[in-house]
Amino acid sequence: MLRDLLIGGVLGVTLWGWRAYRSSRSPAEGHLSPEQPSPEQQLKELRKQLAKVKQELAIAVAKRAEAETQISELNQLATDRAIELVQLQSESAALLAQVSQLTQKRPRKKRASKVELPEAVPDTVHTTVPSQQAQESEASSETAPSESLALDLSLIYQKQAETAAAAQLLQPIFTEEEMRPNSLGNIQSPTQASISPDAVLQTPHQRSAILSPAAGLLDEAHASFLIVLRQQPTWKREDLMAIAQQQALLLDGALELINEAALERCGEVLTEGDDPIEVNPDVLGGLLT
Amino acid sequence: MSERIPVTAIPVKAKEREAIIQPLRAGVVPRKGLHLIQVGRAGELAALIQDVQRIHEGGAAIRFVIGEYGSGKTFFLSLVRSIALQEKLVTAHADLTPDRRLHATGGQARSLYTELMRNLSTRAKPDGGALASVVERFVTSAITEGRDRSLSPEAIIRERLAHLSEMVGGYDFAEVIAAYWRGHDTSDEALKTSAVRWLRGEFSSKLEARQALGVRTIVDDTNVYDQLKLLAQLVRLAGYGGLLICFDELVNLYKLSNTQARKSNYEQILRILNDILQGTAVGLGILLGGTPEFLTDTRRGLYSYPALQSRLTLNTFAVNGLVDYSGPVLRLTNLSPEDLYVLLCNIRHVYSSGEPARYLMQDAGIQQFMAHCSQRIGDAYFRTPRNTITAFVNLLAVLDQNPQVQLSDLITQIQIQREPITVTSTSTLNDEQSETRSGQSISPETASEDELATFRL
Repeated sequence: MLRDLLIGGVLGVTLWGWRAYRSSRSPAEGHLSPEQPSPEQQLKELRKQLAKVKQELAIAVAKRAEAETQISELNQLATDRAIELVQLQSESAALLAQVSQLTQKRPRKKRASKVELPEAVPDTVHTTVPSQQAQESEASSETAPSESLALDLSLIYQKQAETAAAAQLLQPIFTEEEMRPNSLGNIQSPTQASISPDAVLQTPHQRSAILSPAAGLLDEAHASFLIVLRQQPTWKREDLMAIAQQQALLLDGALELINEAALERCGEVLTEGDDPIEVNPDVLGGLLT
Repeated sequence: MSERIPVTAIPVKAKEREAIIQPLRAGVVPRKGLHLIQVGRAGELAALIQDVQRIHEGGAAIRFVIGEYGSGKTFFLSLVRSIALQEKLVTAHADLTPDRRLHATGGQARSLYTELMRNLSTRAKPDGGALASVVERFVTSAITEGRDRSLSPEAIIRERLAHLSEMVGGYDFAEVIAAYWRGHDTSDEALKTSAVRWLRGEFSSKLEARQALGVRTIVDDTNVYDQLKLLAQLVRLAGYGGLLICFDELVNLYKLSNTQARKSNYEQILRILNDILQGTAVGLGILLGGTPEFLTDTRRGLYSYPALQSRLTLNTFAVNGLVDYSGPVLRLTNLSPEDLYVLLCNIRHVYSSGEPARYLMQDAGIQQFMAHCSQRIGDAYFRTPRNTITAFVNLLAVLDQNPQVQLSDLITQIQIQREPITVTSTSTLNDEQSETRSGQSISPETASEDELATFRL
């Protein structure tokens, strides 16, 4: 405000000076006497005065800007303080409410769990209800979650029910082959029991006897190829391809069929990698015995 | 109190545990064991399992899996893919990018086909690269049959593939399969390689294909879908249940700024939709993942094409909590904190190898962890939960190896950051840009590095 007045004053004085100068010059207009300064000198003087006025004006504008900044900073500070005050009031109100709730509703002897969903959290497909002891020990060691996390208990129930339903749908699909090794593994022919896996498979009869569990899955050519695979744990693709060709088989097709059989029987593939090809001894044992 | 759900202790094998925990720790969607961490969506899963069964029986299915960023589309598609593999289907998947489209004139459609063939998977080869295995399995079955019937395998191959010649490109397709057999029979590895290259869509000129295999056509932008139908037939003849193809990030079609290019792609989708809904396709399933605007935007989305809008419109009766999973559009709802809570419970279960007695953290601890994440990054902790899940697995790892440490001490140290929503190849391209970019040799694997931003339920 003060600055505005100052600027106004300066401008007024400048205007008054200018008018006075004009009025003093007006009678002599059009008559250039020898005492009077030349027009060039007058112009120079005018420019000087104009520069001076400009300088004063710039100073005044700068001072005004500075004053405005100070005022806006003060305003901002005041606003911040007001917001903080409101926040503090709301927090204190919430704390008071919490304290009154705790003192009124919860018995002292049994320390309540500090989590939001203490024992109400139901079992999920994969969730257990922690024992009372575990809950208590955890409650003593852990702090309460923030107020900002609010889980809807009914929604959790709904999600868990839906997850259980989804698991029921998926379980037969993904665990089917896992059940087979046990069920099929228990079916052993008398010949199997008597012949050890290390026995040399000399005759087709012996071969078919040992491979009887896989007989439904692999034909004789692929069963023979399977027996070749047991000779070493790692094969170069080139070598295995040559062997497959000797047996009138296509390597990738043969491995695909054997791995399918291994998945059916053992739940895992027999070979891994393209070059070298690694043979899983456990799966091989499962297929051969 | 509502009725409790009985605990069904699902066993977790050590291999499965590693296959889930390691990718989660690295922030990527696991390839195996997804069923162990799936949360909810029983209705959607039941619908997709029915689709898989239909494909197995020689039918066809198409689904548009629609959901916002972070709603779990990619996870859901991966889960359906693993279900299909378990059901002895062959699967192929690819993300659409500006360089990979359903219809194009500059090689982008062929590039999509090449990507699909690279990712072709069977149950025994779930990580892709199974094309040769499929072809060899078919040829092997022909050899066996030929042996039984005292006929040459080539004759059997031609006999089996005879009905394919009625389909577009079927004759040359059968020729290529026969060439593969001849290559094997005569120990001509070059011929075998050429046949596989042709099937993968790697021939860029007809002349080259003619010299190598004696066929007049190649896989190009104009016949990608026809080739997929032929492949579905071959897959069934080889003894598999059928072919399931998953296309993700269809929002990239929506982002095409050239109207004609966008329309052409939508026309291709309409063709596939009609084929499948009318029962023309055999043993073929198509899943397409996209965002709601890709579907419903009447200016640029699928709804901008009236024929598609009428086919994909939602059932007007399925409102106010009523659902209809039988339509071609399957909407996935957004993730909620409760979803994340159940997911973290499942991860904890997997981490402890399915033994509740070995849980490293109780339910209250999980809530405490979620509260901390919520304080740090707000809603982002459950909307784009990659960082939350990674932090949770890391927390479990430390608790596992340092039993003396208190959970409360660790939680305060967790540094978690908001996950920026990054969309693969979201830049809007005009057709000229994309044409010049594609050419004949398109660099593969450009976009889907960050599938993790899309870690979803």
